[in-house]
Amino acid sequence: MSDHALPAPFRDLEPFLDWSLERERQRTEKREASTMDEVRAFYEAVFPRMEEIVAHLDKFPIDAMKEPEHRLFLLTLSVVEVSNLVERYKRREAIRAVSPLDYSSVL
Amino acid sequence: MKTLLRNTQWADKYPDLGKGPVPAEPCISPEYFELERDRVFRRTWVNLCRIDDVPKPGSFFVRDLAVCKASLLVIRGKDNVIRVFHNVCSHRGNLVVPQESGQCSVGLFCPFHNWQYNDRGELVGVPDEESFFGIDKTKHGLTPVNSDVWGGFIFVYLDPKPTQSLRDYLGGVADQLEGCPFNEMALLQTYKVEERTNWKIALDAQNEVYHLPFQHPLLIGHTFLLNEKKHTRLLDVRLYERHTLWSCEFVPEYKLSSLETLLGKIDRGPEGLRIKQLVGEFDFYVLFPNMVIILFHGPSEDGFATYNFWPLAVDRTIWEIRYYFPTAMKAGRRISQEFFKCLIRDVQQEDSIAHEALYRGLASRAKTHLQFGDEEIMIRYFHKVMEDHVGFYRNAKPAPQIEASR
Repeated sequence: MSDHALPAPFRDLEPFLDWSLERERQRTEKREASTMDEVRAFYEAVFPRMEEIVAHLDKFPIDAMKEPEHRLFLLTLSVVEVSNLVERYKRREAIRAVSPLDYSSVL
Repeated sequence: MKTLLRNTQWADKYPDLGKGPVPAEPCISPEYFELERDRVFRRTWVNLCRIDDVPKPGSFFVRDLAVCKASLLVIRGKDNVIRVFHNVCSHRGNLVVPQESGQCSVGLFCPFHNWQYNDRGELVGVPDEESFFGIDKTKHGLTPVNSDVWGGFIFVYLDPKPTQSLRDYLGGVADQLEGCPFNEMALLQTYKVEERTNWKIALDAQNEVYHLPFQHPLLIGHTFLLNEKKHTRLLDVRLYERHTLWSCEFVPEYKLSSLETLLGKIDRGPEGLRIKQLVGEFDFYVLFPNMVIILFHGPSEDGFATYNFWPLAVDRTIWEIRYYFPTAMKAGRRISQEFFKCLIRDVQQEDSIAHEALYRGLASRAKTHLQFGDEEIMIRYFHKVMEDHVGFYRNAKPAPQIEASR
């Protein structure tokens, strides 16, 4: 078996592995700590692959994925995490909200 | 589309409720808040948590009900019965369980002098018992609190003599939600948000959709059904004895985000759980006083959310938000759930700004009254039910006279 971090068809996404984070709080913190250019670069790299990624991941039960698949899955949750910022707000200045860090997510 | 797009209809459905302005003082008054502690929160059925919070025999969960100055211990006994007690030691009144949740194996031990209680709240151990003057352990268990479970939700009634059962208290809401598959869904996330606002202001701000195009223009401004002038219209409003329901449909042709469009294509698993009790596509129940249950219709499955507005002080509130979905077996479905949760979470972060700004505005007392339109009738009703319980104007002083709005 390989010791690669992501499944074979998605190894080109390995530069974005720092977005593969287990907890929602960590994904929110990563979003908040990143520049808009960094957020967009991540989103634009992974979003076009989502259909292919989900087709791959859905071959496995969610609670029995191997480590590389699990990392890839967490990467998609970070795409969701930043999607409103990238697609709807487009820039941070458009947000009229409290800091997401004031929302303590428990799980 | 089933929604009627009339500008006014709910006041006709509930003509006794009136159309005039409503006093703002209850939202900012410390005196009113003091009355709420006893007349509302001790004398209604208040939801504490769900049965999932005490999943196994011996599981316990502690809810700090600050408005009643009570720390409440919910525990599932080894006999599988869920009981609620004051989390207070019979010795000298210390809080027995300091943490929020856990598992009781041997027993619960008060950290002060190690007095021991079992999973039924009975006092079973007193260190150095011989030095006390005849303690009858059978009479010194934890103090029980009236509790009952409906739909998997655990409620308490703090006053020792409830005037009605939980089922009767829930009344028409329980009829409408009979058989709702709450227990077939699992908690996906909990948020706890501390806000500088009054709990009723936060609840009121959630209890309508009129604000969506203005407060959330980029996120969900055009998601809920709109009339030709782009104003929201409710599908239905139901005012129960104390509780309320409003229901909405989504705009059929609303513009999906790129990710949402994609998820619609790739989340192709079998159709998931459906909630037959849905009236529309987004049903919002306020269970008086401080709980909300939302049922929502998704493209591939349904889910629900709850809010509990926990008053800490007249101007401090914890908004607790929980999302529940059927347990996802595949990644695609789980990503769809994450999408919905994050969308509404980001909407709520916009709402929190309003909750605090509303309190600041009202606390200035620049305005003595609130104006409610027809699509806000459920808030008008909530304030009436509050006053029915609190009697601030009935007993304390006459309501300020003000010219009825035209």
